[in-house]
Amino acid sequence: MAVDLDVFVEPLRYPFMARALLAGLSVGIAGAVIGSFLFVRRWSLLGDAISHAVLPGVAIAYLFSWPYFWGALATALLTAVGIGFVERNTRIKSDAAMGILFIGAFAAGLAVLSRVRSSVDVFHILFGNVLGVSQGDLLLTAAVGAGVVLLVGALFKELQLWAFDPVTAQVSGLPVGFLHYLVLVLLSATIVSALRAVGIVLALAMLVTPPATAYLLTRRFSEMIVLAAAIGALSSVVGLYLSFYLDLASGPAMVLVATAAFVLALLLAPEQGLVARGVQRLRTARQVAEDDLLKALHELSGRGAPVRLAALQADTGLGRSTLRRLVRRLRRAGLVEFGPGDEVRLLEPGVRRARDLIRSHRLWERYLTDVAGMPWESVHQEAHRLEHLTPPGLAAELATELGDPARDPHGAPIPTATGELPATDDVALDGLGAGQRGLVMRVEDEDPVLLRRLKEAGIVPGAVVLVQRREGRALYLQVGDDADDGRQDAASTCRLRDDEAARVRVRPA
Amino acid sequence: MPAALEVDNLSVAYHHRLVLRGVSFRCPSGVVMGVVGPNGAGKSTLFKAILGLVPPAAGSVRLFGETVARQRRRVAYVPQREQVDWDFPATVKDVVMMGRVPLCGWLRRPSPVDHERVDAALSEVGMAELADRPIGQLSGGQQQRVFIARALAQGADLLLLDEPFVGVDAATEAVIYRIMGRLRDQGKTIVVVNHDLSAVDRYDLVALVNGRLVALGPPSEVFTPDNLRATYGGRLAILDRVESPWHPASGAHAAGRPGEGPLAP
Repeated sequence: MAVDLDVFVEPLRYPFMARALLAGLSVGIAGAVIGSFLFVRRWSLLGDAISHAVLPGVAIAYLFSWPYFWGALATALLTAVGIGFVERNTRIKSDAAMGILFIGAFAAGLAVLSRVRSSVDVFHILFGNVLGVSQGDLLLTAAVGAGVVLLVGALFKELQLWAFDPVTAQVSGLPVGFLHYLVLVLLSATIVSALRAVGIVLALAMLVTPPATAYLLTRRFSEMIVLAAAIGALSSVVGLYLSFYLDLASGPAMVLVATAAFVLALLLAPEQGLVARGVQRLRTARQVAEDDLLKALHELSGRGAPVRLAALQADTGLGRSTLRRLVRRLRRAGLVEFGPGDEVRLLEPGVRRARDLIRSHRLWERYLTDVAGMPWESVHQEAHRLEHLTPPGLAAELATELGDPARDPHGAPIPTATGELPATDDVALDGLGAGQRGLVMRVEDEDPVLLRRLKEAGIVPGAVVLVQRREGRALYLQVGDDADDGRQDAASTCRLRDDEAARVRVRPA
Repeated sequence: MPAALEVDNLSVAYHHRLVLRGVSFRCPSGVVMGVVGPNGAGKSTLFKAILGLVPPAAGSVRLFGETVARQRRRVAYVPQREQVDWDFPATVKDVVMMGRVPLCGWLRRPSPVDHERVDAALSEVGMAELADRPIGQLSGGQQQRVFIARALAQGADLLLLDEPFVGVDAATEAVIYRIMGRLRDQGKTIVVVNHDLSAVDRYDLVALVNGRLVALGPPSEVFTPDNLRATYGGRLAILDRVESPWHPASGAHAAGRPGEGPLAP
């Protein structure tokens, strides 16, 4: 255990490492806090612009041996205000205004530096050297960090309103101009304090990456800021230890840790992460496959008879191994059991689940036709999608709203909330002989083309059909809406093939 | 009692071009008033001038008999939904709580009273159950209701709704009208900017605006063919007006052929 702790303590024996750690922590936290505002205002590019625009300030401060902090802060603020001025007073949009001004400032800084200093200093300004943080640098960085955290904490609700809806903030009397420039000043100060740690080129990462990571993980701005600060602090510390043990440049190491955290969040975020979404999709697909299999079993088994796997395979069109895997899953869930030979039998919970599915399917069909006004022939597919996503509570609400209907729009009985499926005494229409009459009870709902034909011919639940004659493999039907012979003139005639007629269930009269 | 909103000879200019010219009207307390006119008629500008977001070129605005600056607490602006980024990380309750920010005072956290008012506002618009939902998951109509709840949480007596019906379905529109009716019955004053003419009979008072005030009154009196022609009759009608702004409403078109213009009967 002592050895493990030593890994963390050992580097701190060097004063420069201790200072670097504190500076890194401060920059990580302040950058993440102020960066969260940049993120939600979509100002990330402004962060980049300001970080480049500090260069001329640093260069001029070198030239006159002034403290670099104030020179850098001055040019950073000038650039920020200049961008706003160009944007407001010309036709140039903000992205171009930023591009023009920050590259111009950056070039001016490089030009001055090329006259006065060696390339080593330029490298440190561009890429940072947190190990070279002096006592004075550290104090300044800590002061900026504390200032950012305290001010944002104190003005959080005002800043949040300004960030979300500046116009309403202004209407309600908040000093939006003050808040705007406060954020710019804090941003500039944070960037300047980050120069030692990560340098100009990498400063943007401290502003953008931790807030973006936090955004993927939370749904509230206050939580996002706190989480971003934690991620920023952790990235600095871990990056610093990595740079110590792996002999890497400290700035890039810190940025890489932050980037790695972002990639992890992107993949692993609990709801929005790519992995979670992929798993969710797979789970839904498997659930749908299991549900469909249960319904097929229920259909084939009639009232609880075992079903041969071969028959199930023919009915569902699934591959043999897929089918076996699904059936095994259903057995593990206690929904089916294997019978002798290659048979599967639905168990009571399986019957219940299948009927719940049928119930929500048929309730949805009713809802889609009666309430949503979808055509009769096309509700089946939509209901099929919805049935898998319907918890029992929703099905109950649906039934109540529809007035507990007994049958779906195609005439099929709707199982009750307790899973009872009323027995039906109907027969297939193709079983009727010439001269026989039948009351249409239900039509099978899967083929929209046939459904449309039946609807046009008037063969819908409640209609009465008379088989006029059979010819080859077809029936000639007379369709009326009641059983009265005397009203044949109001009835129409149509021809159905046997296999089509088999899908119409009638009660013989 | 002073009117909830009194606009007196208000003119507003953008880039040296007059967008609104000499608008005067009074809106008493406890009514739902529609400000109706085509796109580009200056309706939003009128709102901005009322709220003090743009300075008037001439004229004045009084809210409950005083200047806007003195009545900020009593007026709430319900912006168009597109004004904000709905991917902002916030819950429904967070957004409604924003209505309390100016009342809380600086450096103070929301008190139990603030929470009560927010919950009451959410119930008022039927969004109490969605209080903890991220705003990014709301439908257009729900977003609109969140904005109304924010205005209510603020305790405003005058609500200015900017195009609340853009991109919401008919059912939601009915819900919003119902909420507005309830608020009116509680004595609130609601002014709604609306560019289209459907459901205008739901307003107690209608102002037809097209660069100027064309007509003001109850819907049954305001929606005359002449007024509609003057409001929606196209660009030429506006030019007419610019040259003779003092002309009475129906006069300039008296000589026009009857039945011309897209909205003539």
